[in-house]
Amino acid sequence: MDKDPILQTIDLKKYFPLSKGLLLRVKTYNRAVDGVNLNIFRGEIFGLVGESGCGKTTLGKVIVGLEQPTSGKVMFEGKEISGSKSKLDYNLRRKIQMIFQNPYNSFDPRLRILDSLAEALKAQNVEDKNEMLEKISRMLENVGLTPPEQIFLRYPHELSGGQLQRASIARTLLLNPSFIIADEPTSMLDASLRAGILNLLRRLRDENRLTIMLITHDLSAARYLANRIAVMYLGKIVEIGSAEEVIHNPLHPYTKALLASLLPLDPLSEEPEVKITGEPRPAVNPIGCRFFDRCPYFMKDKCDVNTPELFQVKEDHSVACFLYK
Amino acid sequence: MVKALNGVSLELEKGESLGLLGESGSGKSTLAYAIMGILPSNARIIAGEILFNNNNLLRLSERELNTIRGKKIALIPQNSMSALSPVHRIGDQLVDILKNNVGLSKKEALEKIKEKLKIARLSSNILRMHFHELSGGMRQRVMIAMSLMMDPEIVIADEPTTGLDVIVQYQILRELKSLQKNLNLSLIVISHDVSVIAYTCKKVAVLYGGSVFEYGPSVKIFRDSKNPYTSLLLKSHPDIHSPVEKIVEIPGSPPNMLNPPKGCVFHPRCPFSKTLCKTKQPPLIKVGIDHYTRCHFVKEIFGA
Amino acid sequence: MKTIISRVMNKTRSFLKLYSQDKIGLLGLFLLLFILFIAILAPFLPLHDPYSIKYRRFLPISWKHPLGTDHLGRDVFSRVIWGSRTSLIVGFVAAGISALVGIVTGSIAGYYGGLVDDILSRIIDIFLMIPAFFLILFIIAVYGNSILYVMTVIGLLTWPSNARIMRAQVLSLREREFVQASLMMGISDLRVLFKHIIPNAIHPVIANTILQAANAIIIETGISYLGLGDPNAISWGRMIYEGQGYIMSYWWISFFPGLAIAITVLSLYLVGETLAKILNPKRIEVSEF
Repeated sequence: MDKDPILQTIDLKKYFPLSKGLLLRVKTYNRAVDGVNLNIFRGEIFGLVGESGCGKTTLGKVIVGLEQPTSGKVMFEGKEISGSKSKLDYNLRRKIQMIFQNPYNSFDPRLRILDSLAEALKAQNVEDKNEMLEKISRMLENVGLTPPEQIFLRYPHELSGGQLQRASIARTLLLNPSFIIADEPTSMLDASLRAGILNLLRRLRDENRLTIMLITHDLSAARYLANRIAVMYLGKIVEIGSAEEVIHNPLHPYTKALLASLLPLDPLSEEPEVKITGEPRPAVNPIGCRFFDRCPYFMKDKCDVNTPELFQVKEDHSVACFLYK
Repeated sequence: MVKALNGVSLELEKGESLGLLGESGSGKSTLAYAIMGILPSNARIIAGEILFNNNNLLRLSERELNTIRGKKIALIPQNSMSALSPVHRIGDQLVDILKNNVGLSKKEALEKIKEKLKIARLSSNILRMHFHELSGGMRQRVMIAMSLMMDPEIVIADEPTTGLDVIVQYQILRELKSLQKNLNLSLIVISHDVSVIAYTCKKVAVLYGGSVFEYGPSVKIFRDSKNPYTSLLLKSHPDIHSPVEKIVEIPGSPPNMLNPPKGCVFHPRCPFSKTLCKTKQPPLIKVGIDHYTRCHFVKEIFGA
Repeated sequence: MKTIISRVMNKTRSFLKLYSQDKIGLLGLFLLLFILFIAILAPFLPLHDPYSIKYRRFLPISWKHPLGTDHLGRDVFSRVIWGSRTSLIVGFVAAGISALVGIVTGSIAGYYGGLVDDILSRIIDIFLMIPAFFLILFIIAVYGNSILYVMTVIGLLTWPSNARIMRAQVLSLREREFVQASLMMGISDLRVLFKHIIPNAIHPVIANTILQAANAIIIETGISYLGLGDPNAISWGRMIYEGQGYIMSYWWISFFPGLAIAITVLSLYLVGETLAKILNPKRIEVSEF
């Protein structure tokens, strides 16, 4: 792993306006991403973990450029890539790609796999048909879709979820990216197909030195793949550190609850102890820690008044919680 | 023609929890709907019986089925997110359902509703709200309360945790488990998620391609499986509690039920498959007390 | 070249297989094809000259004049056959213009959103509020009534319904991941619009266009019936208008063109409805067309 971050987000915020009062002035916001500072290093798999509504998918979309930030910056290889479209360097942008949750929505249903993948090559001005065929076949084999001839003549709905997700990864790889965001890559796949995708991502990191940001709610997948894990809650990062630290030494009460909720595969395991109740409730004008209304360690006049910032507890472990300050 | 279920024999004792574990095409939902008698109109049951308290449900008339469906055997459906109308209040809808289906008066209905809401850990305030105003977990609790309305003997929970967050998922399953114990319910849980079944059910049937592949106490199946599909499935799950080792990939994809593989449905994906597996479907054989598996080569693969 | 032909043949075959599941729609299709057939073949059929006034007036149905003659002595049968060309051209040209304008407007409104969408949507709303028929009458009365004019005006006033459909489709497709994936490849908005969004969005518009063709024919009939149509074109509507004074005694002059309109419009509706059902984008098979 390099020492320089390949990707940085600097106080990144993305707010969606909700209701408009009289005179069309916006009254409330959905603070999907609320001040996120991340450094992601070349060659690592970075796990962004959280439940639905925490903002992880929005964060991914802002990084990739499908959404513009409300404030803050995204830096890639040292250059700023967020901001108005006219300033964008397409060649730089093409180095960041995304793999989506639903493989069936990731492909134009009217095109054969071959044509969808060829589009990626045409976008890089590859013209020669034989060259395209060769590259596509190699790439399909690379992601485990063999023999390629049986795959690329098919339409998306003719493939299984696992095959289609591999094809989606293949298409992304044809663009030669250096950074891939995988947004819940296995949550829509059948159980027997998930391991294949996870192992493929692992191989891409190990053999191709690809940097991958894995967005998921599945902590066990994150632990299996990621070098480092960040836990997100209602728009903020509440804990970040090496995978082993966060999983085996969780500090933030929310992380502890998440880990405790993971049902073991062994029916004889002890009953999990999860101390929190309720569900995430985004406040209209949030003050203080976003988690205090559910936190078993809530400290009055502290947690509801000030917002905790990420604070380094150990060399590779930081947490945003007043318990540790 | 899709052969959704191919000779499935299972038993559910009173007060027991049975898990149906399977992926797409396994037939698990078809089985549940067959029990409830709500299969789509183009479905044909060509053989077999469904015995409820020794009565064959398949022989009953629609009218007789109606006295059982929703009353003695209840279903918590899969897509509970749109189970109730978004336009009317929850309380009004629940009262209507009880008045029309069971003939209760409004007063009796409300009493029963409040009682069941309490069991499902919901406050009566939600009666005044609309369904879409509730969070995912609360909606699922409403579904649980609805299923318990007529004090059923059997509750079938179809993918009870789809769409729920990790923490809520755990809470719902924990409550389902304690409900089952307190009310002495017979529970059938259908899921594709191994950990859901491992946590909630004492007995498991692993379904694949329309057949039962392994069947027995969950302790046996999850700790000492004697079936290639089940054990591969378990090994393909990253487990947080064990050290990180490479998880096992299962090649291929779940079978296309319009044209399933001949012989053992799993053979195209099974690393142990031999010629026999390609031609003959393996029978269900006993490998322990109440433990059955479907495989030609159990001894060779798993030892004595 | 050969592969393209075989591809087109395969698609047509599977399309017809899907289509023929609806028996009534099939009837509509056959009717429509039949009408198209005779319209194209009209100049080659052994018909009397539709313009010639040399025959005796008001002749009833006979072997020589299967549908009789009108008040000017023209053969009704050949006029009905020739009239089909006019009606079909009116129908398809008007629907074509409406589709073109509607698709472009709807796509732009749906894809770019924001102010552009607001403005275009308000324009669409205004058009939808105007009673199109009366506006068309007005324009024709003031600016002239040639059949070309009529077709164009109908097309230019009925595009909003296509625009609405297209806009709704584009709005939902825009968020689909495969569109976003193409954008991330660096492909321009315009190319994505034409290559991915429009082909996937167009299915309900096709069905709607067929219905609009039927609508255009009805409008043209109405205009002609009121005497404001093109007196030089052989139009069924005009024939009804000319024959209405004689309806009690020489009923065939108005009746047969009326019947022809009814059958044509019916067949278009049947085909349009069936297409709407099978081209529903929710069906997986649609992606193959």
